[in-house]
Amino acid sequence: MSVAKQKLCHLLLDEVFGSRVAKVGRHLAKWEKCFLADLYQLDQPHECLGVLINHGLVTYGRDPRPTPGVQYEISLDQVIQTIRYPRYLYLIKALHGDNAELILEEVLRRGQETLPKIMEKSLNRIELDENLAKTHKQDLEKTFQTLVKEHFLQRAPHVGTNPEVPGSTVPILDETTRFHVPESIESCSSIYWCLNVDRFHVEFRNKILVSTVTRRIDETAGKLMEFILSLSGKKLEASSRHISITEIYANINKCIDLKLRQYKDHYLKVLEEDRTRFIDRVGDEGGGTYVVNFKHIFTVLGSAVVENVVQEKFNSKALRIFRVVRDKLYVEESQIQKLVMIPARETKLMTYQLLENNFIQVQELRKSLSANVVAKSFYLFHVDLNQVARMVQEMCYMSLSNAIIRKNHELQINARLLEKQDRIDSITSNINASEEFVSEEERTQQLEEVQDMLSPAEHDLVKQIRRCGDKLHSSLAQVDETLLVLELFLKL
Amino acid sequence: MAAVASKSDQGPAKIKVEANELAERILALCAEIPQGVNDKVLQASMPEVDPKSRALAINHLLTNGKIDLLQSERGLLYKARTSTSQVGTIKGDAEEKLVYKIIEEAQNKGTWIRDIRIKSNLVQTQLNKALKSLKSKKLIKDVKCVNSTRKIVYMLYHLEPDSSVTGGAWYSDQDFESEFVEILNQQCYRYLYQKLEKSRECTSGPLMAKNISQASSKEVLQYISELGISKIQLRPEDIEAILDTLIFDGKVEKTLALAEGEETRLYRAVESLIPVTGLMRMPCGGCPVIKECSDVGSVNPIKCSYMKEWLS
Ligand code: SF4
Repeated sequence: MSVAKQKLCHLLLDEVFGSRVAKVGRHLAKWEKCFLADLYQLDQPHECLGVLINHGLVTYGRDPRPTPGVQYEISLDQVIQTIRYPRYLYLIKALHGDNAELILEEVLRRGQETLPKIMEKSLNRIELDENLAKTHKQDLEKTFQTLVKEHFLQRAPHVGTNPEVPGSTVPILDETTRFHVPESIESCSSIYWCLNVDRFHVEFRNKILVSTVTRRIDETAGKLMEFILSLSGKKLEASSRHISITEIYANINKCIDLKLRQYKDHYLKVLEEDRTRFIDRVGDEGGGTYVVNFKHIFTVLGSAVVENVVQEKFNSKALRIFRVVRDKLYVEESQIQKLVMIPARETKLMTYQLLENNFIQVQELRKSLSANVVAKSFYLFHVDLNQVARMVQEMCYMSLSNAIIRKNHELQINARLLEKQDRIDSITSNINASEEFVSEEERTQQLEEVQDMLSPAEHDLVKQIRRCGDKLHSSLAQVDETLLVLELFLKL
Repeated sequence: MAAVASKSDQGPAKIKVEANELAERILALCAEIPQGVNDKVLQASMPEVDPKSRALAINHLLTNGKIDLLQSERGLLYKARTSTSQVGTIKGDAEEKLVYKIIEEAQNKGTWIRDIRIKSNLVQTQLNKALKSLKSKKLIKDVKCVNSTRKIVYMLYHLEPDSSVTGGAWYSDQDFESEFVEILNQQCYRYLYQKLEKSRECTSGPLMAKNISQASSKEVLQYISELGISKIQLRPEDIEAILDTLIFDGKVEKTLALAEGEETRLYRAVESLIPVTGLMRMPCGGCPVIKECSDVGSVNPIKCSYMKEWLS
């Protein structure tokens, strides 16, 4: 577990759950596995642990043989995914509307929750009269069912025993009932629901692919890719199921894009022939069967990310060298020089800069094993893509941490000013809402007075701080995008 | 004069065989008459051969160093070389002859002074003297080698240095012409990118569009020649080397296609798979000191000036 990752996790836990939980999280991360007793020195360990377990960030297990107690283990990868909570909400809103967002918000807040509680809390948030509330409740229930049916929500794992290890205590996810909502809502009071993170990542993954295809070929091809992906299943797997051409055609015929309908065969062919191999033809039965080989595609995308980093961090010549080394697998320095067509000195400089920054590795091949024979070795350069991807991942962790620290810092040093601005905002909205004023003039006058609580210079400063905050926020999301591609590359 | 027909006149294989036969005959004739034969004698001894192919054969022999062309009072004379080596014909002391022989063996790849010394067993001063004298007689020349700046190789005066010595089209006087390469790289990309843009307007389906965007290396070469940016005549291999750099830049893709029974390489410009990735859009991504950046110490995100600049 790297230091950068731990640091980021601590910052994220602090942001989402507060400092006490963050401390417990840090302790767990440090020791990998902990007993409850190890945590007693901290503040309210039970509650904090509860929060972490509810959100699926900590798992527990008791294996009676080596040690009798229950051990807790934090999953840093899951913790880092908390950075995506806003994106989850945004996605679900786009797909299934405001109600879905409301439900998801409740689930995210609690980590896991029963259906009746979710209903109650969501309804409380909107004040409605009785009649409306009733229809609204029905709507909510329906949305909830859809979310489960679409696998966005699942039953939370319950405490059980691993059948192979008698006396053990582990969380168990029951596959048979995982996505099953009982008929009567009342009987749901003991069933807890939580997020199925993978399902969200499937959506993100598909989005990445569609935009890649659109960029590479054209919009129509992007649309076709979307159709194919919608048939590819709800699980995060290395390869999709087999999709027959008739299924794809059925989807195409439903759409109104004339170009796609006219040239559907051509577009399929182009997708198949592209170097990235967006789809693979695996059989001829029924006119053709295709699969989407996600593993391969994300290997290509992952290396594209790495290349991008090389290009931006160094320059396009370095990128050329990097790609030569990658394509040729193992290559000698003189060979590189011949292929890249860059002056020898510059090539050498860039090659060794890449080497120094660990983007390429060097392998020594000795002709003889005895130490005193000089110049009897070959030095071959090569790229270990997995390793480089991990390194870039690490860079992402550091960058995210830095952005968060900077953001907190900006907010902290300007806390008083921002507080004042908040107060002004709330007063302003009160004035706007109130009906006490006789004339509009009076109201405007009041508003102006309130606004004058801050000097023009302070106004500017507030604006600037807000802009900073927005910039840092959006860069958090952008870096997360990079992280997601790398994650999928390394995981699939 | 017979020796003017250019190399490119060489016809298909059949003529080549004939030319070889002819060359043999000419050589035999020259060997019979050691004083040398002139054009008239040649013509008389083989009347059935047309002047053009005879010229070709003679040219061939000349370039291979089998015969020599000499000026005499009787006009031009062709004379067979006594052996493939010219050592016998040069004037000079024994050392010079020895050195000459070693250099001759190295042909157009040239040989390095150290190797000459080892092979000849001469001491440095003797060797230097011999080399200097041979050079002044215009029998040998020194050529700078591209591989290392200070290395100089020797070869016979009339030889054209091998491309491994000069570095081929991309070197002038052992300097790598990086600007030239850079310009060619850009122009090739421009040409292919224009094709790609044109293909986007294509309305007859994506496969057609893909075909439109492709170009063979010959087409690219023609475009480059028409631009007139190259002083020298580039060969298809040269352009392919340039196109390869574009492939490594990730801007171009290559496909092999079979056209008229011949394998041709088709190139097309492609869009990069992803736009600038999120990480690189914030300062930390490209930061040179990211490894040193932490909470403690003078490099930290709060005091960071890259961040400050970016945020303001
Ligand atoms: S915060 Fe500044 S110093 Fe630290 S990594 Fe980012 S850009 Fe570099």
